[in-house]
Amino acid sequence: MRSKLPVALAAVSVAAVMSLTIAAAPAPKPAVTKGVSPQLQSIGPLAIGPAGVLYASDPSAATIYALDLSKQKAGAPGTKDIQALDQQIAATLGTAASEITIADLKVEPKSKNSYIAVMRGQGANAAAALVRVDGAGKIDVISLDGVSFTSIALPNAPDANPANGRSNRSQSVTNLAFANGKVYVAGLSNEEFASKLWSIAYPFSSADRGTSVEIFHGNHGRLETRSPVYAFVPYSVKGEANLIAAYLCTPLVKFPVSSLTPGAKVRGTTIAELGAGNRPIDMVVYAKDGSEYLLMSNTSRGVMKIPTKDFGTQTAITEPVKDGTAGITYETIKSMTNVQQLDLLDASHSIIVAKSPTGVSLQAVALP
Amino acid sequence: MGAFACGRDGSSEAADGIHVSLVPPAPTRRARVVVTGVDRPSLNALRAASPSGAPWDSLFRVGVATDAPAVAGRYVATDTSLEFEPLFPLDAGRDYFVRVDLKHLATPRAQPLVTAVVRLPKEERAPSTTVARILPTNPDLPENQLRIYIEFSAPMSRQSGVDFVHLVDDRGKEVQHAFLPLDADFWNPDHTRYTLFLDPGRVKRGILPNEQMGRPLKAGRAYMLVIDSAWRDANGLPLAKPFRYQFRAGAAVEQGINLTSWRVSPPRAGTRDTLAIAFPRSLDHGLLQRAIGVERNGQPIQGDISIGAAEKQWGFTPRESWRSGDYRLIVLSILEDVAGNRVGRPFEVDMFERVDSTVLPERHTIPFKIR
Repeated sequence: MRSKLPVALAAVSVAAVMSLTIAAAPAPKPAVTKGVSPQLQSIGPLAIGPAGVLYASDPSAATIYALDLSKQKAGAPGTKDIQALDQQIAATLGTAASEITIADLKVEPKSKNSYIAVMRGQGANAAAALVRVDGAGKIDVISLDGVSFTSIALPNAPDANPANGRSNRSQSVTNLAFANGKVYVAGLSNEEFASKLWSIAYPFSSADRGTSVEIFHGNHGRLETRSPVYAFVPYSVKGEANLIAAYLCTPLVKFPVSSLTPGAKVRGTTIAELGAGNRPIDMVVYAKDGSEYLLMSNTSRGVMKIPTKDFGTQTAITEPVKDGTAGITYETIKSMTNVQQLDLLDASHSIIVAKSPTGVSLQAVALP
Repeated sequence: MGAFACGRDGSSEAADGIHVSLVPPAPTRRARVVVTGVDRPSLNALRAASPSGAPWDSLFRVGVATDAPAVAGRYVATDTSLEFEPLFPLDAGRDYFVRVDLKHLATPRAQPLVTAVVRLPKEERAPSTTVARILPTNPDLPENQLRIYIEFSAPMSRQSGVDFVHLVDDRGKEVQHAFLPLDADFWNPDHTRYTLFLDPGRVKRGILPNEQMGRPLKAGRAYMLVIDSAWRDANGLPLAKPFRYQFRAGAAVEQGINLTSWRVSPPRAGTRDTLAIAFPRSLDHGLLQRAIGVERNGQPIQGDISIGAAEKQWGFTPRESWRSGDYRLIVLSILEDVAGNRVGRPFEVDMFERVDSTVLPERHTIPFKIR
């Protein structure tokens, strides 16, 4: 009788016969779609591009949309503070605050209106909503009916046995940014633990599927690990375009954009260690009194103000960090607590979404 | 579907001939609020106005509370009524407050204000979703275990698990900061499996969180994974009961997966018997579903995968009978064991010796013969 998994009987050790080969598989076909009235399955991180383009990730569909909002009727300039933002948005969407998730907030630099990605509903029929807050405090749901878009699907996950149809993999998008004609996307899988960062030229084109890189960081003379980039911000270091990235394991790392060539394995330089039990949420760069700073919100370590002047010269951290933090130092901004969303409003203010005992509020805060 | 028109007392609200009703959803149309009894000249005037020209917010609005902003959607006048069609389907069981103020009509009414509360019926259900199992099924985990999958009996909500899952050690003390504080969507596409990451910053040696706090699991200790029943399912209901899972932590596994230690048991030609592969250590259950396949003459063979006890066995049952000759087992380099180690490449050390040249990963092959 044969059992379902006859392990021991008739087993053949593969030691003698195994060979390793590297297969040069053909690149998958690009999946660029152009159209009107996009139907997003979900909405996650946002990015603002030039000429009225708003980039929105659809994590459930592993797709990035470029939405042409240039024909939208403008709201009053600015973003007005709103108390109980979650309740106000939920009410506008016809539901309760407990039923919505605010996924991201980005300020459109021209109008200074805030665009907020919201998932309405927690269950199987959860839907994506794009909401705008203007200078009069008006909350509008941006209808995507009639909005022109292009979209690009992120590469399919590898599958050695696609006909099996039992993959439980999903891909979430954790951060999106636009800089120098490219959309940068950081993603996390619910299975393999790898750092994937895509850079995709915009306008999206069938000829350019984008670049996918694996990013490593050295933490130790001996150990080198792969870890997902969670949040990042484009920033120029000594005239060279870089991404400043925060990893899941808390180091702050820089790497030049020029290293993001197709299929590259990129080694980032660890310039700061930011401690345990923490995850970065958002990062912005701003100038004040002649110096530039990185402002970073975190899940459990507050908002950090990090001077960028030493980003170019900081020695890479390659030794284990025994206590506290290491590398570039930061200041914790005590006036900004429980910040869930952070973006720049103008040269002197940030916009934050912060949680307090009385609810979730949207407010402009002077840059520290 | 029941009737929906209801006022505060459960009956239709009517004043001065005005009637507010909720039309139930149809297969191609959402539930909508309809106001009848408005005179034809007023309706015609409203229809002639541009959508933003009519004073909708003061004339006719639907809100989740009397003082809440108007629910987004289409407020329009038809030949016979005022109608509101929401941008998103109305929630079952939620009260929606309708306000019609007819003093804003072209010909104001004597008793202008009409209010009503409408509600879609909600099916009352008892909580029934449960935790079906924890993966890995092997209750002996290495202390550098990277992730745990939680499978549910039915689809769950989008809520992150971090607030509902606790790791308790054998002294009854909760291990703080054990899991990655992430609200990213770690559900599988049908929301029946959640991936719980042990904080990799603590799991990996030599980096700050690990140096500060050590690994969340310590070899030689026993633990309990406790899952609160407050975690909501796709219907918004809590779990039918909390869930507890006991396991033990053992020595860390810090070597890459060694394919030469795998044992292949090829079935006989002419049968559809299961090809069985045995590994000396537990591999990641999720990746076993898609990181291993079978080829013949360079073409993938279709079949069904089964994963055996403790994730140390992988079975492949072809849809068509095996034929005599050469086959190859394909192992994608993304395959990981439960501690994140890959084929020939441990989690914590990377040789950095080569660059992936395509978005598709490298593959390893193990030839075998069917006789």
